[in-house]
Amino acid sequence: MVHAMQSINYLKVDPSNFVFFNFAGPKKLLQISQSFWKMTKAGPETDYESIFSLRVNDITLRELLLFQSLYVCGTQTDILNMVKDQPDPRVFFKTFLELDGTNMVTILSFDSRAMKVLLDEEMSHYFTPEYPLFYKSKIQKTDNKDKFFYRSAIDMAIENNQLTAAACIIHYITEFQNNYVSSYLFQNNLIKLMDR
Amino acid sequence: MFIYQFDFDEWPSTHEDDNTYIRAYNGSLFEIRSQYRNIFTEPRFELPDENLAQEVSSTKMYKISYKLNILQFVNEYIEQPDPEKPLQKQKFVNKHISLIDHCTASPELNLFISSALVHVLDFKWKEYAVKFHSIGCLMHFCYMGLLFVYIYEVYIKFNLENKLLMDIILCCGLLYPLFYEFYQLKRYGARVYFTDLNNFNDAAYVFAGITNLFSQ
Repeated sequence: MVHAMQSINYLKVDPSNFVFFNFAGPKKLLQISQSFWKMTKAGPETDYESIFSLRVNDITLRELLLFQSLYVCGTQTDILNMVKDQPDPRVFFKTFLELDGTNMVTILSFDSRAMKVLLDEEMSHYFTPEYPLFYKSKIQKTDNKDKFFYRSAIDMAIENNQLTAAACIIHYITEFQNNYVSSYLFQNNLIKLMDR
Repeated sequence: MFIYQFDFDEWPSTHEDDNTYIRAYNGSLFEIRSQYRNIFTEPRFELPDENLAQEVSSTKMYKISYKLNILQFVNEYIEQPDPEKPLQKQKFVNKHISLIDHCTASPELNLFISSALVHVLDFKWKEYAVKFHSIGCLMHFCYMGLLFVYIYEVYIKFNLENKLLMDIILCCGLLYPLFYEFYQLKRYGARVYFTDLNNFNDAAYVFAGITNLFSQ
């Protein structure tokens, strides 16, 4: 179905893109597509080209409790210990609508040590290059809960001066998410990265 | 990731020419599908008419690989106004940001190995720099040639009859670098211009040349 839900519009690479919610099957997919005119013998026909897809997961009680625990951690070391304690890191790579369509690895990008653990080469068998891990995220403003700002994990890492985290994310993108859509993540920060 | 390789049904897939061509495109990535003739405007890139019977050609055909370099979006560029909104003006995006300046200032020399940056440099060189530097080089060689003639006539043969005329011609040879220095001063402003020591060298070359001619 073509959905007009504006809250997910920030995922569009270009304003002319469409958002498709494929939630009927066992795999819930959120697809960003672009329409174009296709010339057929019968005349021009509208067709859609997929730009990228996100797999949306249903959150379990265990995952919910884990995220709640991460939010009440007092120090970054506590967060790191919790990240290391998880037997399956895929919970950090999952996209949830409860997190405004983002994943925990993006939220944790302010901490270099956590990013180093999660994006390590040893974890590569948990990565799914089919679905991007890093994309623009919608984050609630702390001073005004009704307002949001849109940032990628790289922006957050640079904002918090976590260059190791930024390097880990860039390494992941070049290895597992190397397509033209990822280039939009560098639109506003490539010059900043070059200056550091 | 800054190179988008595509293959649209609307774009020709083969051509008898196997050279590489670089063209500029200042539009949305998602509209490029319908922009073939606006990008490749030359008659040799004309789309074959499928309705007309094509002559059987024995020329070897090559598969065309189309690539779009997206790296330029971090540079300063002009966002074209929406044709449906006549009141909208041209907008400068990333004002005063130069990717090349940042690359040259960066200590990471590996940047210049990246194919995306090599393509950008290649395009800028072929489209703008080669003409500009060729004119500059030609003017410099002309000036040097005139200087050789001047020295031969005035200092070796002591022929002072046409000295004033040769002085004026030599001055004309310095007009191009003089205009270029003024252009740089106007474009970048006095503060930026005078902080680059190479500009002092260039200015000294022009003004010392002119002063030297008329002080003798």
